[in-house]
Amino acid sequence: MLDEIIAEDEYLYRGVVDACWDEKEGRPSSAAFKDSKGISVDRDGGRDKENCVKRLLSVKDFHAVCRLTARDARSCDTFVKYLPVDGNEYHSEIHDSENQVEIKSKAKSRRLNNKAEVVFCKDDI
Amino acid sequence: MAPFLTIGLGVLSGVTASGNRFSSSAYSVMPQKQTSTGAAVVDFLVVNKLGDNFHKLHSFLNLKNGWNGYDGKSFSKLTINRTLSILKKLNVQPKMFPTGRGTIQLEYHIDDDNLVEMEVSSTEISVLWVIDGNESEEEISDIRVASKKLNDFIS
Repeated sequence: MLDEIIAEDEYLYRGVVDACWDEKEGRPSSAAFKDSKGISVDRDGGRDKENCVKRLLSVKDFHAVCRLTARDARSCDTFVKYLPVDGNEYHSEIHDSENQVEIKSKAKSRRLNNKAEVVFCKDDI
Repeated sequence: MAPFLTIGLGVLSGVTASGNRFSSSAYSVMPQKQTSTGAAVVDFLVVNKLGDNFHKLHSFLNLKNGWNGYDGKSFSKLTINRTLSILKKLNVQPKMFPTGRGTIQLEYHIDDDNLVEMEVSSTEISVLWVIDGNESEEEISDIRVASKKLNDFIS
C-alpha cells in the first residue's frame, strides 16, 4: 500500500497520444493537460523511470510519456491526489484545488505542460 | 479543377488542390455552398484554405470516449462545426489539438511570451492570451469576434 500523501519529489507520469503531440515543438500541447475530470497520472510509487513508462505503454500506444514532480504540479496551484483504481495502484489525479476537480484555468494547464519533461517519445526510437 | 463539386448520388470523392484524396463518406460535416440552382456543393476553396486542419478536424469525429488513454470525451458535430466556422475566417491556419474534455484547441505560438490558446466547445469559446509575458483569460460568445481576435493577434 502506497502512502496516501504523494511526496514532493515523487514523479507523476502521463501518456500523450499522437493527436495532442506538437510535432513542431517536439512537446505535448497543453491540450494534453485538459480534462473534464482531474488529470490522470501515475505516481512513481518508488518505481524507476523505465518501469513507469513501460506500464503506461502497456495500456495504450502513446506517442510520448512525460513526467513532472508533485512539487512542480503543486507549484502550478493545483492539488495532487492519490486515487488508486482497480488494476492500477499508482493512479493519481491532478485537480484544480482541494475542492474542485476540473482544471478550468487554461493558464494552469499551460504551466503544467511547461513543467512536464518528456521521458519517452516514439520519434526518438 | 473546378473549385466546387456538385454532390450527386452515392459517395462523393475527389482530390483537393493540395493532392489529398478524400471521400464524403469519411466526412459527415463538409463545407458546402448552394449553387444558383439550389444544389449543394462542396466548397473546395474552404477545403484548400484549411489544408491539413480540414482533415484533422474531421478525424476528431472518429475519436471515441477514452481516445486519449484516459477519460477523454468524444467530439460533437456542433463543436466541429463551430471550430470549422472559425477556421474558415482565419488568414493563417493555427495549430489544432483535441482536449480530453471534448473541446478543440486552436493555438498560435509566436514565442513563450506571445501566444494564444483558444478552446472551442459546443457552447463556449475560452481563450488564454499571453502578450509580452502577461497572461489573461477571456470568454468569447461570438464566433466572428473570436476569429477577428485571432486574425488581429497573428497579424
